[in-house]
Amino acid sequence: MSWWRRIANVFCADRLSREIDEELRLHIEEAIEQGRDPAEARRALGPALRLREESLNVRLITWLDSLRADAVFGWRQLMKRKVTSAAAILSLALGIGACTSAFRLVDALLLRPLPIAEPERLYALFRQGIGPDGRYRISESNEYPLFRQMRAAVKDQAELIAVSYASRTDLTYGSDGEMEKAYRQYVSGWMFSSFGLRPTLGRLLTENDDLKPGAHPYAVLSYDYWATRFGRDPKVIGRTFRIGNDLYQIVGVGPKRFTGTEPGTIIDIFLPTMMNPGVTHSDWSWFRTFVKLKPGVAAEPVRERLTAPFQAFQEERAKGFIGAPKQRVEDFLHQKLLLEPAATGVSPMKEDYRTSLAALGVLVALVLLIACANVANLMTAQAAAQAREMALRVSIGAGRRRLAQLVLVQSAGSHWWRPPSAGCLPVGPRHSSSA
Amino acid sequence: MPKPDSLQGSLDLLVLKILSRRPRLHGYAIMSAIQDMSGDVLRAEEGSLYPALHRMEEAGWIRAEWITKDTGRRARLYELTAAGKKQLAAEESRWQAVTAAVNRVLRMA
Repeated sequence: MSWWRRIANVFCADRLSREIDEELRLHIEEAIEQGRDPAEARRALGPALRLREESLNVRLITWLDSLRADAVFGWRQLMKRKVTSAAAILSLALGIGACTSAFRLVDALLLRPLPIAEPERLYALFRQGIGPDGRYRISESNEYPLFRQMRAAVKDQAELIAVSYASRTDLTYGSDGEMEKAYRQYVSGWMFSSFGLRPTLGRLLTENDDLKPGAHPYAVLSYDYWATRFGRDPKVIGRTFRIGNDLYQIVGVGPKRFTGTEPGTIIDIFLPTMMNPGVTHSDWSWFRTFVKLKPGVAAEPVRERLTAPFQAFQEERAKGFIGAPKQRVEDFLHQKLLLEPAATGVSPMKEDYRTSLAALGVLVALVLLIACANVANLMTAQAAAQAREMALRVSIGAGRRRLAQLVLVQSAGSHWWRPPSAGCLPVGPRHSSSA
Repeated sequence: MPKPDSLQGSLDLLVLKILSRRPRLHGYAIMSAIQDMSGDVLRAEEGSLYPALHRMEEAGWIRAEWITKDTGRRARLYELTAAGKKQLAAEESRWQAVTAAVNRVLRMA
C-alpha cells in the first residue's frame, strides 16, 4: 500500500477500526454457524481489542496518528489562550519580517555576486595615495590612453574592462519635444563576452564596436529598461535614439538579470566607450577599470605588471604640471595601484552604506532575538500552566519522546500562523521512526 | 503478549498457498482450509490469523474486498496479488530448503 494511502488511513482511523471489528465479528458468527460453542470461539480468537489494535498498528503509522492528535490538541490550546498566542505570533512575525527585509537589502547591495561568469575572477583597479587636496584617498577613476597601455601590458594574464560611471542623461526616440531620462553607461565592447553574457534579443556589443573614437553609434538596452520602457517589444531592434547630437541604433537587449556592475543602480543603456569623447584625452578620468583574470592567474603579478605603464604615464603627465608645488608632484608620482576583488560589483553606495547596513543588520537581529525571548517566555509560562497535565500524561505512560513531540507540534502550530510574507515556513518536527 | 504459535513462521506460507489454490476466501474459510488440508494436524491460531492477513495486505501480497453474500451477510474476501505469487514462490523454496536441512540433520544424528 502506498504511503499516501496510509496517510489517508490516519484520517479515517475510525472507519478502519469499524471494519476490523466487523471482520472479527463475522469470524465469530461463521464459527457459531459451523456449530462451535460461542464462548469457545470467542476465546479461541482472543481479545478483540488487542486484535484490533494490532491490525490498526499495521495499517496506520502510529506516530502519524499521534501527530494528528497533537496538532488538534495544540490548536485547541492556541484557541484557549488567544491573546498569548496572538502576541507570540505577532512578535515573531515582526521580528522575522524585519530580519528578512534587512537581509534582502544587505544581500542586494553587499553580498550577491554579479550575475556573470566566474565573478570570483573579477577585480577592480584602484589607486591610492595623496590627492591634489593633500589628503589620503583611494580613487577608482582612470584615463583612457593609460587604460590602453595597461590592457596591452597584461593581455596574456587578464582582460581589462572599462566601465564608465552611470549617468542620468537626456535622450529622445523622436523629436526634441519628447526628451526622456535614462541611465547611460559607456562600457568596453568586450565586456559582455568577457562576462559570459548572452543577449535576450539581437546582439550585444563586441570588441569590433569599440575600435575607433566616435565610429560605433550602437547601443544595447538592459533587460529591465526594455521591459519597462518598451513592454518587451521585439521590434525595438534597429530603432534609433538621439543623445545630444549623436544618433544611436539599438542592436540588442542584455540578459535578464544583468543590470550593470554597480549594485543599487540599474543601467538602462550601454554604449561603447569609443562613443565617449574622453577616450582621446589623457587628463580625463571618467571610468572604472575592471580586471578579469585569466584562469590560474594570481592578482598580485598582474598588479605589478600594471604598475610599469602606470608609472610611465604618471611621469609623462607630471611634466605638464608647470608651476605646481613640488610636494604635489611628488604625491602625484607616489600613488600606488590596488587590485580589489569585485565579485559583488563596485558602487559608491556600497562604501557609503556599508557601516549603516551592518548596524541595521545587528539591530534587526536584536529585534528578532527579543521576539524569540518573548515567545520563549510565553511558552515557559504555558508549560508551567501545563505542568499538571504533563504529570498526568507521564503517569499514564507517555514517554519523553511523546511529550517532546506534543510540545513541538504545539509550537510548530503557532509558527504556521505566521503570514507568508514574513519569510519561509518553519520545518515542522520530524520523526524518523515511530514514537 | 503473543501466544506461542504452533505454526511459527509458516502461517504466511500456508495462507499464500491456500489463496493461490482457492482465490477469494474470507478469514474463517482460510483457517478452516488450513485445518482440513492438513488433516486436522495444523491449526492456525485464530488470534494471529487476522493481524497476519492485514500485515500481508499492507505488504501488497494479498488484496481484500468487502462483498455482500446472497444471505445478506457481508464478508471480507482475500485473494493473491502478483507480488504475492512471487512471495509464495520464495517462501516455498525457503521452506523446502529448511525442511530438507532439518531432515538431513535428523538422518545424520
